[in-house]
Amino acid sequence: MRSADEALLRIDGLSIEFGALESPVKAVNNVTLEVRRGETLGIIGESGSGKSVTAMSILRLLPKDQARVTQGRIWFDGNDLLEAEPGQLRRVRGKDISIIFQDPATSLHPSFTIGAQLIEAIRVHDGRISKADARTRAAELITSVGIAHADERLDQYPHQFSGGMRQRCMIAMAIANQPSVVIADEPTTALDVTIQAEILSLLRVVQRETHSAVIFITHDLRVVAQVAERVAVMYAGSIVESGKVDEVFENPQHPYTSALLRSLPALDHRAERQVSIQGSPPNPSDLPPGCSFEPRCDVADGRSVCTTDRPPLQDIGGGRTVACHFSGETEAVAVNLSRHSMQPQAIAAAAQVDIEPVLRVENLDKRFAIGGGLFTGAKREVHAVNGVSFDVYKGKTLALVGESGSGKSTTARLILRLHDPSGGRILFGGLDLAKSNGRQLRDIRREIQVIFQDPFGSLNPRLTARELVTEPLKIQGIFDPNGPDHVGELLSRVGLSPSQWDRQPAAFSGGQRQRIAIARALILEPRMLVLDEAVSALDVSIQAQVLNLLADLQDELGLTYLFISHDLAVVRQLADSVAVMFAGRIVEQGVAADVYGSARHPYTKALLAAIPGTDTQRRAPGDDVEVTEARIDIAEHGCAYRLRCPIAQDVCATDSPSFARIEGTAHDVACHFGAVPVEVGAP
Amino acid sequence: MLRYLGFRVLQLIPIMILASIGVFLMIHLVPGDPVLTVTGLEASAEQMARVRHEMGFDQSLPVQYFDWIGRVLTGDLGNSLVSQKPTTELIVDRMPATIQLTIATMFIGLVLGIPFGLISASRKGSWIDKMVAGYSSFSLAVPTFVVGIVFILIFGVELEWLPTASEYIPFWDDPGGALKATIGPAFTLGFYVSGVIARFVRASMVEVLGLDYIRTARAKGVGEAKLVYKHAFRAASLPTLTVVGIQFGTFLGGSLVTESVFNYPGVGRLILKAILNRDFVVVQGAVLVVVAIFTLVNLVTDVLYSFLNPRIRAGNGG
Amino acid sequence: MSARTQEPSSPVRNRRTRSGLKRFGDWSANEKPAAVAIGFLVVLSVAAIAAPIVAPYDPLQQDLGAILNGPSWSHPFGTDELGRDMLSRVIYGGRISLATAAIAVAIAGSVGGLAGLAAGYIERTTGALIMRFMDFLLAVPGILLAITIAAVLGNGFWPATIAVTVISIPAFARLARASVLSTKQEEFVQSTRSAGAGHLYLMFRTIFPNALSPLIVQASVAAATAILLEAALSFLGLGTQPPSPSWGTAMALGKSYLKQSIWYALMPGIVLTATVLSIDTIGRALQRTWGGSALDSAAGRGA
Repeated sequence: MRSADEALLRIDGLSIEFGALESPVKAVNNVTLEVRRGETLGIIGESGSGKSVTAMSILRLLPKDQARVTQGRIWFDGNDLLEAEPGQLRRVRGKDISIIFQDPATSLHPSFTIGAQLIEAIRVHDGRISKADARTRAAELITSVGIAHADERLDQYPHQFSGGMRQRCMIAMAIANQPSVVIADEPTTALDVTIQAEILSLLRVVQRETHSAVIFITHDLRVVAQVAERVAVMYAGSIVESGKVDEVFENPQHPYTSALLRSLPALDHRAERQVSIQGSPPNPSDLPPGCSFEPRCDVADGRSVCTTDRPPLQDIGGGRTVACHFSGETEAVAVNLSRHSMQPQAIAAAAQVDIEPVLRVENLDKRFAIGGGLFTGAKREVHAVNGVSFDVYKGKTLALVGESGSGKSTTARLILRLHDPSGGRILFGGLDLAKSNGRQLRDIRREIQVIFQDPFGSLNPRLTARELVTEPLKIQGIFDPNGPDHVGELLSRVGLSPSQWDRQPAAFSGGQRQRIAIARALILEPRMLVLDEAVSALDVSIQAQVLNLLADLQDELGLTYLFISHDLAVVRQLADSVAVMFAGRIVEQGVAADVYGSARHPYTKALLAAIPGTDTQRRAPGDDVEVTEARIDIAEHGCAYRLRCPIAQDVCATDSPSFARIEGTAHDVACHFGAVPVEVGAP
Repeated sequence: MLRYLGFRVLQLIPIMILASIGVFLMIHLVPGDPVLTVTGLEASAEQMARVRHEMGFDQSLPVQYFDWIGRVLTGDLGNSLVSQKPTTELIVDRMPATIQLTIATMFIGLVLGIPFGLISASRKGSWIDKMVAGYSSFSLAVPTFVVGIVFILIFGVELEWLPTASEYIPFWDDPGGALKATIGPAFTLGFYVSGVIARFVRASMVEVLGLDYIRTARAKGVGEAKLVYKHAFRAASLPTLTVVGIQFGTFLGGSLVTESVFNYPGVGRLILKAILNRDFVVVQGAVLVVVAIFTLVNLVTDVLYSFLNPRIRAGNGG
Repeated sequence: MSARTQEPSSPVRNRRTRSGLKRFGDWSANEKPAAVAIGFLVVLSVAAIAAPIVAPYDPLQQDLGAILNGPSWSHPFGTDELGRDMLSRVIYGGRISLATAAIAVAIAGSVGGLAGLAAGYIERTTGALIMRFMDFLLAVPGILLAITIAAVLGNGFWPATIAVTVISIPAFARLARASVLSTKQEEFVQSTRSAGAGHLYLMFRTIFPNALSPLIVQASVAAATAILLEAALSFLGLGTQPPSPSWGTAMALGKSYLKQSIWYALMPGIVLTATVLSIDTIGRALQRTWGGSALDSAAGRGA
């Protein structure tokens, strides 16, 4: 018998390269890791840090024609998996070690039923099991991951399942053969926050029952804090620090870990400024000779050893390792991953009411006809935005918060008139944008500019940075080539140096692209910016830089922001007031501190509770979670939320709740039981 | 599903009406007097006027069109200007030869094309992949009449194994003879079709093999062979089906040339001869029939596609 | 809605730092067959354009003392049934094939491209009408339509070229429409719209330049198809008429003399195949470079 401390899986000095032999992209550099029986190891890092590549290499799932393992071994059960024969490797895959992938939408075969895919996973490793027995086992498996009506569900195809349900199926498939190691590669990143919470607790139950070790890959510090016992932090292809999660997060020894933790937006208060890490991660085909983090490090302080010698990963006792020449000097942080101090703040919000809002939206409505009558014949209508009203005040930020399908982005696009509203008014600058057209609309477009989520899709790839920022001036016919160089000023203001101005978007990183997008939006001197998930695609350290820039610009130029986001922590940092959307309606609206501190709508409470790493979600020894059944459905009549609501009663099925003001505040809630505080547990 | 089928069949009607008008107009705009085709160049003015009246050419175009289409709907495509035989009969006579050639061609195309595509995709970048790429490029670049000529040259002229001009021998009557008579044109066309299919199967397989769900299957422990033939080909077979449908039309056209190279007595040869003889009644009828067949094949492919695709079959598509 | 992390990090793009010529050099080093193909096409085009200077004989000059000869030093491609030099005839024939391809691609590309752009941008009535018309053109098998058009217009170079052009249009239109439809969804288009850009600006300055590369690949497909179709029409006696030295015509005549000289029919066939193969090779190399889906062009090919 092996002892529990002995490593079950050990990665030894692994290095992986991509691309041409002459100019390789070094994705993983000399990584050493071990996973013990039954534990959860979190691997955390930003995009490009090599965390997923490391995970994929364990089962040799990297594309053979692109990735090369240049050195290292992966020990499992006395064998080096990198040397394993195809047959041997096949027996390990899915039986001893299994994987849950990031995107459940693409990870299941669309032309096979869920049952067929589960049965295959079972029978591929044990041909003696009859199809009927395998089916019985498959039914047990999907029942155990919280999917009801197993027998019926097994005969359905993946597209008949929601994203969260598909991820449950993936988990069922991963545990089908009771593996000793489960690799979870960003398993919740593609999911909404409330679904994420369900999946994370499911994983915890599954692990408790199967005693598998879990390698959990994520970019999300809060998630890792919730699920992992030990954590390894990766940066530019190397592990920079590892140890017990609590110890690493409370007392980080590497400057990168420390900075990363500090740049995490807090939930319990609005910070004056976000802590950010300057610059961006190094180019993996051109790593600096010394420490990869040195160019961004505030501890290195120009000391030569950091630029010449790569620090080795050293054991510093207590099961911790760190790769830094001056780890003792790393700033201690008291990171607050929880939100125990969320107190309602008495803010004189009423004062705002007297001021004329910059933007007033009244009863905005949008219906889309869907169902390509082609196949189904019947045309359906989706009520994407349903009677939405709000005001945005000068120099302030209103955040529209909601999960996918809530209608928040559609609302933004209606205000920008990228879609035509079906009803309601959009009052801006004395005009109703909902009814404006032609010249009028074109003039008013100068005043409201937009920044989109995807920094890779929102800039015309054929124009240079300077051309991109000049374009709006040319379109509006107000470009003066001989006048003062406003474009250059603005590009400098958002942090781009003149040497970069003549490059095309492909040459910039995500954060830099978002800076160009901001400059492009501001060149027309708008009164208002619509930020549609503007920082969601960015890594946390870069996100903080962009949030700071946005806050500074708001102060300097008196800009008004409409901030659309699914991320409650980010919203907390920028928003003055918050409107929570569900199924096309606003369900709760008020000053940010009130909504966060004393949420009234059950949905808002569920959203807040679902944020990983918060009190209700924090992993405690011997905690007792249960598999929750995958839930679905937006109700068609009455309150749309009632099918998911823990406090729903008969009235909710018949009457749609209207907005009620909570006395003495500027806090509105659309719930039959919202005006009185009701205790709601985790979803 | 039934609804979808009905919808697709209804969609055929405007296409066929448009096609019939197109065919009709095109033929009636032919420079030169079709009456001359019947009467010969020596005919007197009265003779020509009589024939013109008999054939209805003195009517206005719309009247002629409705007259023609009315008869087409009863199965009467008019009589050949040259042989005076009913066009319908001419087409029906040639149809078995064309059907036999089509089946043989598709057989050769699929039997060569699919395995080539699969092997090439599963060994991406290997020498075998490069060979297949070369094969399909070549088969697409070399004109069918060149393949036909080389085929005749080798097997007809040099080796004298096969006749230099083929005839139609029904497979049921004499399989050996039918094979000898059909192999030439069938190989010539099948060579081209196999190139298209090999290239397409490879492209869609390479795409599918890079998808997430293939990685999932691999991570489950599914062997490489099963991965290629079961998981990936299942997904790649749908687009391949569509291509086979599209290629069917190309093939119908290609048979025009091939049949002429081999003097094979199919519908293609009939159309070509009619064009060269300015026998516009036959051209008009035969083109209409070919368009109808082509449209029908596309319909069948589409319906088959949606039947095989669970996303659409389950009625959640759109 | 949530952010997806991108990993493994995409290979770094360091473009735009080198000159066009240098980049072309690097490209051809990676795509050697394509470089060879470009070389062949350049030689062929120069020979065709400068045919009166390059061709060793007058293509119509008969020499009844040397009929149906095989290749020799004086006649590298042999001679035909009237003793005419086949090399000279093939060089002159290249003018016909290349001219047909150039005209067909230029006209079909611009007409089809614009129709597709309009259909993709406007979508509603205009778009639907344009696409229904294209469907009609596609409802008739390409070569059959070409033969019918050529027969209607009479035989010769122009009727054949017009026929080939017409049947090349729908592929361009469909591709352009698909490309515009997907480009239109891009956020940069929305962002330009919210900067106040009008429809013409969006169509021609923002969408079209970004939707163009699949059309360039399609141009190579269309050029290859045009050459094949022109040759097929001539082979069937519906294109350029004798004694004009078209490749297809030469092969049709040569077919009757296979027993006397295989070279007569074969040499034009070899040059024709090499030409089409070269265009196809370049097109596929371009596609690899631009990373478009190989599926689109593998599907829509005629002749």
